[in-house]
Amino acid sequence: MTEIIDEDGQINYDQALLDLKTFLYGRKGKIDTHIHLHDLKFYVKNIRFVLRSLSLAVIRKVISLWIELGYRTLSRYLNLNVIAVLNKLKEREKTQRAKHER
Amino acid sequence: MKDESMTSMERFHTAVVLKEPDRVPIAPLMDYYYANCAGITAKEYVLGDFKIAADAVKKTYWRHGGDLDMVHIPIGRIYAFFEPFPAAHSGFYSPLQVPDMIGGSLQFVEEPILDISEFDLIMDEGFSQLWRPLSIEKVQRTQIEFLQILKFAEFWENKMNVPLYTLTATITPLETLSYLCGLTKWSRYIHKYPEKMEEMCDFMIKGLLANDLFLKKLAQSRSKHSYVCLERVSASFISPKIFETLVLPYLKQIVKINNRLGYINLFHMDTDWTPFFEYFLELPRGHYILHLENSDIFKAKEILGDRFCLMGNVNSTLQKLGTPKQIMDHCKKLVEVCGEGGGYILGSGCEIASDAPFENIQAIVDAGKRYGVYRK
Repeated sequence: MTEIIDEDGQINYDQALLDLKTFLYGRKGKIDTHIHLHDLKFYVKNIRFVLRSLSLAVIRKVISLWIELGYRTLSRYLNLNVIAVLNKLKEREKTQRAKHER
Repeated sequence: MKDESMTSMERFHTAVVLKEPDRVPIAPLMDYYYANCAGITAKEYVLGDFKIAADAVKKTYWRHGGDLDMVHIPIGRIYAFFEPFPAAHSGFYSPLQVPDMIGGSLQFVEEPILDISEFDLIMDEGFSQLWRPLSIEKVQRTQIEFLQILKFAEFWENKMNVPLYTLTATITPLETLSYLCGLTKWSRYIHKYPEKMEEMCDFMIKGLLANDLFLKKLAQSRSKHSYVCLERVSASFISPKIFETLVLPYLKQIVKINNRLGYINLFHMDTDWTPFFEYFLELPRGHYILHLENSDIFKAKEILGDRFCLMGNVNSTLQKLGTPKQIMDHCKKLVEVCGEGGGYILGSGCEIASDAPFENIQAIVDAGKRYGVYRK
């Protein structure tokens, strides 16, 4: 088993992302990371809410996260745990609605 | 002005490293009690603006004189809409009931949604196959709230110097399966199909560890507490043999990661763990908090006290139905016995009952201040 952190504390983010993906979407599962306009609209509509949540300390934390994880890891994580989650929820809703109608 | 030489952060972490702080840290775990104490309903607390919940935490802290040495993020609402992982409480897997009353708490309606015959399908297609419909807008809103959680953590940890109970959460795979399969089926599977259960646990542990790693990185908590949910894999539910094969190996993996990241293993141990205490001696050296509920905390002090910091365990019956005098007496005993030589945090067993009377919780605070002083 490949470990996500070795004895020296080095983190294997690629492995961690793969483990996360396998857990949520399976060994054979595929993820849908397409950003839908409707979802984007929500974030734009709530931009004031986002800005209100920010402070210097929060911005500092976000930047340090960006530096530590790097763009590639961070965007892959957001794809998995934010965008793919929303898309999967919608797909689940459709499947369940279809089941009910039958 | 307080006549105390340590900040809450220093006091709490001195106890964690098994030393004597200026006094015993007073850290009853609160969630829905915050709503009760601030005079808002569970519905407002869970579904309202995050600021309403954050203000309830502040109000409660000051109503108790600013003497609480730990606060908690409004975790129920976050679990409900943020966590696509099947931890103990996630709206992705269980329907929610949120009472519109003061003193109420969010309820997760547990229904069996996973059968052992579906384990292979889940390994192929993932746990997202079990998600139930949730309001997309609520999920998105909770995702944005993450920034507010960072702000909340910054305020308490850096401005107030008060540690947070946790900003992360993990759980052992076997316990997760109990929530998904339901207790009756789960108990049967453990005895009838232990190999299949082990195969599933092996599959799950990697994802659970990875999820917890990312939560730690996102939260960047100064308190560095790594919450491990240990509720349904205690001696109240399973035999020592099952614990040895289906729980302990995974717990060791969780601890190994926490130790490598420099985190404190915060074991949230509900129900009775007393018959399993000896197993904890097998865990590698590191920093631990054993937050006990119905276990014999005095026995824990005897067996584990020189390696593990203990936290607890004023139980919810006493919090709700006891008198302030009874609570003071109980806390006095806890502080005198468990606090001996350090390594003890005065707290509740699990969390404070959402409808506990204010004066009873204040009695815990008063007892800690009166009896818990190590040095002036």
